[in-house]
Amino acid sequence: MRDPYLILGIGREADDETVHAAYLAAVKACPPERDPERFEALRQAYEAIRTERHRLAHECLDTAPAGALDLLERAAPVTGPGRPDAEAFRALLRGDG
Amino acid sequence: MHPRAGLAGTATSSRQGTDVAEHRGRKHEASGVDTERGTAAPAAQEALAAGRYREAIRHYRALAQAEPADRWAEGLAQAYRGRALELEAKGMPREALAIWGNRWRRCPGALPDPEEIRLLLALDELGTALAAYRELAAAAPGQAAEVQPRLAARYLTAPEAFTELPSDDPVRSHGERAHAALTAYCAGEPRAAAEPLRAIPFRSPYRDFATLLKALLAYPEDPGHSERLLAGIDEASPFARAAAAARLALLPEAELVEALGAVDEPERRFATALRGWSAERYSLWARLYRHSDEATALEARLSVLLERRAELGDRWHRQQLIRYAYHHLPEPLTGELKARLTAADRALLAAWQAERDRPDDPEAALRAWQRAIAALRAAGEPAAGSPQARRIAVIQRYLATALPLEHAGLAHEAEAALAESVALDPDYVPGHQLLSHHRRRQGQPQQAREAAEAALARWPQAPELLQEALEAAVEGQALEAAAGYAQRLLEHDPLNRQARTALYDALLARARSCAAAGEREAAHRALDEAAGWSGSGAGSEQIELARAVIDASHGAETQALRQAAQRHGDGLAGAFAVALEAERLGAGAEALLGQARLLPARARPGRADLLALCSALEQAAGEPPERLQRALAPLRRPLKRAAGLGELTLADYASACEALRAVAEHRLREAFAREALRRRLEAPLFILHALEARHPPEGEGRPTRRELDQLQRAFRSAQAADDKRTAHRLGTLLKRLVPAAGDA
Repeated sequence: MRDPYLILGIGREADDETVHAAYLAAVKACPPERDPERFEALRQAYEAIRTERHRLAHECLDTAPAGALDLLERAAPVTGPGRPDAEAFRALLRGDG
Repeated sequence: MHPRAGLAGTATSSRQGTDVAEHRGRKHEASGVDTERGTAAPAAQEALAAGRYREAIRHYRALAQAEPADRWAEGLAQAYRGRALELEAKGMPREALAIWGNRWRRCPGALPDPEEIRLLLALDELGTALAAYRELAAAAPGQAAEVQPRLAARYLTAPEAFTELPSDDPVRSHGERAHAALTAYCAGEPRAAAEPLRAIPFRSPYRDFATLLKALLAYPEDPGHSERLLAGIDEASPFARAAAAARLALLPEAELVEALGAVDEPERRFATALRGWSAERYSLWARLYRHSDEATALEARLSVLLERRAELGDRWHRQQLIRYAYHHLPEPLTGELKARLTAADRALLAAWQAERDRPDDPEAALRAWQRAIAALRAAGEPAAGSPQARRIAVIQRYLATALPLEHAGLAHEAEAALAESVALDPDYVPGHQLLSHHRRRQGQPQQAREAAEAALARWPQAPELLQEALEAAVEGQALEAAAGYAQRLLEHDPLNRQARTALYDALLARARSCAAAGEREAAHRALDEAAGWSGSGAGSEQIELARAVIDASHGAETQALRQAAQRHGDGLAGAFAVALEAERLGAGAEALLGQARLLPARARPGRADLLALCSALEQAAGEPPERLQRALAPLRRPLKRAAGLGELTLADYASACEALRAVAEHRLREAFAREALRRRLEAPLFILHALEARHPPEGEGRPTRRELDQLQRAFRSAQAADDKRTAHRLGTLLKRLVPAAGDA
């Protein structure tokens, strides 16, 4: 995923405080010792959009296109964890292929 | 179909005499098998032991026809078992099942095998599997336990099919609790799921299931615990697939979307359901990720981008569209794509393309960006500080700092961009700093300081602006102003080395200025202040020297001056330090040296003294030339005497020549070079020094033909000796002197 807004889970209208709060929350949920790669992605996303001028620079100067995951996240975001239904269980326990 | 299938659901079994074709075995039975018991029995055992199951089956069947069948039933059953497993391993499960059927028919007394039941379950022959299991459980409960976890997994898919099992069979009795837990979990009632789960004993066919469900109950609150639990489920377990699917759900999203392509549909559904994926997301994932090559993947991304404008948001949609166009789409854009973009989007895309396509033409990129800025201004000039103004300012700063405008002779454009960025975004401190810095780089310290001052009026304590102003003041030799900035900086950052140095330099300069104006007391006060910021022994020595020179020039005892000189080196080096400081302070060097008896005696100075002076000369090379000339004047005679020192090596001569070159002492340099050439004729380095000193750039004399020949020879000689530096310097000198020779 390349879009820093999606990485931090915030909208494009987010202000400095929102970006900062989202970053802190994300780092708290995923500290660097648990997942260094994820932390690095969070850090880079934060650095890219932490102030209004950074956000404007990202908009005007960063030419990297969105990846498939960006499109997926933006077009059909996940609202929260779920649970498989009984049929999903049965399919696996029966050995369906 | 397994012959036991007809008996499924009954408590007893009956073996039939009807054969099921045994593949290619029958023809061998009739013709090739030795029916003599004496040879057949060992042959059968040998084939069985060697894993030649088809051959073993033939032998045992022949033996069973000649003698009571039950005598050979065990061997035959083993041979059938081996063959069935062999076929299954070859990916022929139906053929394997037929062999298991033959075993059941032809081996009276042979119990169902756990492997046979496992295969029946895998082939969805649940009724037959249960019949076999019941038979096995009744006769050999230990063996039956092996297959119970597989039956347990199937129980959870269809508990109604297990009513024929005894009520105390663990598959059934524990199964009721496991099924209740599963039903509660799927209904979103974790507490109701936990209770029956606790009632499942450790030694239960549902043990892995219980572990799996506990892992799911811990998800997503405690993914680490889930992961540890799932890791405890063996790969051979009938619950391993569900565990693997649950493990997928623990992956970060970026890894999950990639990993989903490598698993089958049920695992994918299970994992994505755990992650809360909607059907919409699942189908979009399939569109975006299931591609054989990058071209089709890109096509899919673009089509989603074009189709989902509403969900993606118009602004994001356009921003991504120009990025796709920039990276992937042919130019020019099609009418449909073009119509989706605003004029500003298209101008931005054109600016990116100009920069990419003409990397060696910063002016083209600059013009394209200026058009993009004009497009942003099309709706009217934005108010300073507005988002649109800041957007333009961001681009202006980018142009000035990222494009190599200065190297392309467009420094003025860069300055204009930075000045405009300050006007459009006046609240941005680094913008002011960039403007000042740019002006300094352009050799405009006064203008740089004005830019920094303008910003300091708004942010008087901003350290980055104070630092910038300090550097501009130092570069512009505005030492009093530099001292002011330095003091302000040091209030907040007492350890700022640059500020301390600037303050020391400024106070020393003030002291010298006061001394030159005859204000001795003020000069001493400034030196006292400077002593507090000197920061090094050399700084303190310089202050003491200045103090001694001021006092001596006002008629005080010269002992302190001699001591200060000694700290800078005996003889020539110390005398030079005093002479230079005297010139800085406006006191006559020659008179002061005489007054303090610091001029060397008529004897030649020593080698160490000469080398110390060379070092001091190199350090003083940045002083104004006139001051250096005056400071050196009283030392020329002893220096000339030093050129003839017998103890000097060629390296010493080279050092002396370089030092004298640094202070533009051409005559002395030539004298040292000639002396060195007396010791080594035609040495290229000293020919360089001698002739460069004789014909300095500012001199008017022209080289003779003989001198040019000498230079040419020295140049070739340096090249032949691979002395690249000397050869380069000689070449440069030749280039400078040859036109003059040509004129002559």
